[in-house]
Amino acid sequence: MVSKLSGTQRLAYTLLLVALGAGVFVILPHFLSSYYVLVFAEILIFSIFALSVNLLMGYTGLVSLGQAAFFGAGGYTVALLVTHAGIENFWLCLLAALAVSALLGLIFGLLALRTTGMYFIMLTLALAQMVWAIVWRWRSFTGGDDGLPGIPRPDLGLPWSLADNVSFYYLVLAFFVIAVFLLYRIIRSPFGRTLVGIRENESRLQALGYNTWRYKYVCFVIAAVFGGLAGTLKVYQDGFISPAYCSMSLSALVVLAAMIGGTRYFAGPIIGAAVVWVIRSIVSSYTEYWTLILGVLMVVVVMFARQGIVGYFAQLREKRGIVKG
Amino acid sequence: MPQAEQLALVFLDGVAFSMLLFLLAAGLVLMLGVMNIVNLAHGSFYMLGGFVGIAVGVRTGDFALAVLAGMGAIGVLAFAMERFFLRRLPGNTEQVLFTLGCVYIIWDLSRIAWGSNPQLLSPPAFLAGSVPIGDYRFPVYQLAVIVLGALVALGLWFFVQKTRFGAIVRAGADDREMAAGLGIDIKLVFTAVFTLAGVLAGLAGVIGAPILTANLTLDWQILTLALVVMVVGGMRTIQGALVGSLVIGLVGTVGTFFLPQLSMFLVFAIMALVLAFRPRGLVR
Amino acid sequence: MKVSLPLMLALAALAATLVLVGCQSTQEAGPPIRIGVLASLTGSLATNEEGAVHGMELAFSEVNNEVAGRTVQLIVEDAGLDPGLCLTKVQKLYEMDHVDLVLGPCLSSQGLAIRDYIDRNKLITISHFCSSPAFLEESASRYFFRSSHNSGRQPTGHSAYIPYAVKGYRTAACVALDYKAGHDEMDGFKQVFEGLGGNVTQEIYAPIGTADYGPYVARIDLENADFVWSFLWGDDAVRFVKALDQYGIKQRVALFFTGAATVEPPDLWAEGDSALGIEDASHYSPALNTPANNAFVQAIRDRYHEEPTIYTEHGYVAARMAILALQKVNGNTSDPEAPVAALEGLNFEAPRGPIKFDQGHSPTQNVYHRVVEKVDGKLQNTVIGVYNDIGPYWLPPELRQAEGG
Repeated sequence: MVSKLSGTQRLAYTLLLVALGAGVFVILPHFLSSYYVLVFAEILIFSIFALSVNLLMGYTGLVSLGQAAFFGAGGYTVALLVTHAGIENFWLCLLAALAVSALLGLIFGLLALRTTGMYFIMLTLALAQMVWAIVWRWRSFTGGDDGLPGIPRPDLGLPWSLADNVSFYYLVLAFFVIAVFLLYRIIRSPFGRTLVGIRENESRLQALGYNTWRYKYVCFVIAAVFGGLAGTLKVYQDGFISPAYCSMSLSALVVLAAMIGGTRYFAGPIIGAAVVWVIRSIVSSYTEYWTLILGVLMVVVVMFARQGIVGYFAQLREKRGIVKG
Repeated sequence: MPQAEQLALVFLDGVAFSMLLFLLAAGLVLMLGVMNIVNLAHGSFYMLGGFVGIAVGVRTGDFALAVLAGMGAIGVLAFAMERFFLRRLPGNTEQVLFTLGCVYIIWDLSRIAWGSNPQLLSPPAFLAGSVPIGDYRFPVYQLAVIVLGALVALGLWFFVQKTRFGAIVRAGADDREMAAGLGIDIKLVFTAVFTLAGVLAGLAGVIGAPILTANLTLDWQILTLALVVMVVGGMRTIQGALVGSLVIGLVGTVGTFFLPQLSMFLVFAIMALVLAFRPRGLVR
Repeated sequence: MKVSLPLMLALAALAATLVLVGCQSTQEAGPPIRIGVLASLTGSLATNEEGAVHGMELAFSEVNNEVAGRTVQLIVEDAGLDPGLCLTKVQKLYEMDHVDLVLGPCLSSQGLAIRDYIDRNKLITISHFCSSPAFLEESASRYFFRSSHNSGRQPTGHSAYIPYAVKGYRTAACVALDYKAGHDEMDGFKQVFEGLGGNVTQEIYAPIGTADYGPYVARIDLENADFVWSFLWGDDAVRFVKALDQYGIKQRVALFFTGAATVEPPDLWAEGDSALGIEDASHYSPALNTPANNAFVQAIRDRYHEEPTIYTEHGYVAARMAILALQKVNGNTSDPEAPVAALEGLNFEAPRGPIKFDQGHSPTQNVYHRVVEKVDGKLQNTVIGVYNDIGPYWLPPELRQAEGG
């Protein structure tokens, strides 16, 4: 994008955007009802998850239908530590959840990355279902179908409690900002550019001497870790966990979100996550056909707007730029 | 101590279940081999086939008509999906994501059409009843499913290996450009394969209805099993689909009989073992 | 080709704001009494839950949707089968719609998920199911009531008592769904049956959603069971009952189940003739031949052209509880304590028979010995025995001393 604005204009423009962003993300929640703050926080959590999935899908070209395994692994680690081991320290639980997600990513990556394309899709799906089956059947440990209730909001030693939705929202916002920052840096780095190269033409990179498998593997594990982060935040948000957190429908939903938002744009998954989550939480109150709406939206995007919502507006902007000359 | 008759019961039950899985896995193998796509809506095809079959069967009382209706409905759906949508998509990934969107659509339309009460289809009168096995009994219908599955397996093998059309399908699978160069309309082959897979899935859905009923959780449930079958059996051959189906069907049933608390988990344990030691599947 | 990140984030924020602001409800709680309904309208229980909502609507229509001069407004939300979604919806009902009272939810897992929230906010909740004993014990809340039964004790106690004391069975093979309620039910059955002197020879658990019940049914040891007891519902119940018939179990042993499950409509109708002759103990039957129930059944048939099920009756009674309590406090919804006291003192005639709340927030009611018969070409649970005044903690007289009364 070639900017036609002067240096000062650009600065003012950026400051305006930052102020707008701060206004919406930081100040507005104070005035919204607790319920909408809840949904807003869930959107941010789901965005982190969608960004992690897009690292694999949009940037590396690996479609995984099993990312809920990491989301659930993070969540269940926290739930199990809190419920069975009585560990209340938030940071300890978080670190453990990230470690478990990473470990799962290391193992599944080894198994799944032996394949590509269609086989990769099938394998990730099957592996995630295996996690789901274990969680679902191991009643004595994971609570099985009933899940594990009674997970209190974390105590971070702050002067205000995180039990109310607004305070917890700010914690989620903090993690969201950190996650966005980290993922953005990863995408912009040489590592990130290599991932795109792998997506475009893996054999060419291999011919140039790159160990593409290693890049894909690292990417897979990073996606797993961020997925685990999202799962951790969700379990603290809800106060309980159930096998639905590892389900295939969640894996599919997050892929849907990335697609709808636009997989080739960094902010795509964020928009997609917002759209999908709003349909799921809010639209579902007005119509019983929200699943159909999601499906149709997905089909429309795949058929006619593969660049996603963000891509659509971005291309619109480009065209206008060309016309203006 | 389980008696021989109990084991016989469970074994036969497992084989019948394997046949249903085979009908699905065979279609998936064909689509993967020829078109290089995974039809994520394959479980949805099964589910919808079951619903349509039950609706027709309950209304007309004619089981054969129900089977034809299920096969026909899914065949038409599959044809339409391929001809008007999949064909227009540029890459395999896009096609797979399209089928994902279809899962949601088919699910919600099924829910709207048939609600969520359990639905059951009675087997045809001449197949009703059970044969005695010691103190227990085994449904005649499930024996018929085993026979049907075996016939379809034989038929598919014959079709792929021995007929001209089968040769075209194999050619298309092996080398698309060459096949096109030989004057084979690859687009037609794709449509035919996808439709055939759909018909098989619809068939499975209807004949499975008297055993498994039809409900709104079947789509993901049966898709998972079918994919596990492919991973275990090897994703490239019909023989692999058969072997995989039998392994998973029997492990699932016999395993559940001995260790009911482990049921689903056993199926995945097998998959994990295969992945670790024979990643290409049991059948090369 | 990319667009600047700050721009896109800003657009996202803008879009989100517009959506959220646009959806903001600006209404305050006015004169109408607002009652939120949490029902599982998607998922395997959807049709049952629609019946429950119909029962609720019927109850309100019988008082012309008016209590103590205030109009009653029902706000129905779909909580699916997911505790998370249920929690989201109850928060929406309370904070956005400002409901005075909640009817539902259905699943115990959902009730447990929202328990802390409703307790904290003193939101009176009358569930039409949520039958876990936890709601009377560790997860009891002053503001939580239910119109259903107590899993594992009522009516399950009678599903053990009648086979032992009335039919003379001494050994049982038991099958239940593998989740908390299934375990509660099986434990409750065992407590009574073994307490009386019987022997449970097999305890078989099947996961919800099991596709093939063959292996579970084949496992039943015919030599060592006088009867088979079970607790299943939905598709699982249908497949299980069919398998019992097809695999020859039904022909060899008696079947006596616990009610509000397995051979309960609408599952019963899908089971077809495979269910004929199966007996159970339940606190309601749509075929109960009393004036109160006949009127109820006819009203549902006339208004909704459907056959009522236990879900319909539970929903109806939950709404009746709300209506009677609100009438007693003259429609005063500002203080939750008064309606709570009113609910605790309720004693009225429901379609299922007399019901009161003398032993906690769960009903004391009749239990019926039922058998599946075909009448006029339709399957029904015919009542062949009545046991009056059964509380949620019911035990047979022989076992009461051990419990301390």
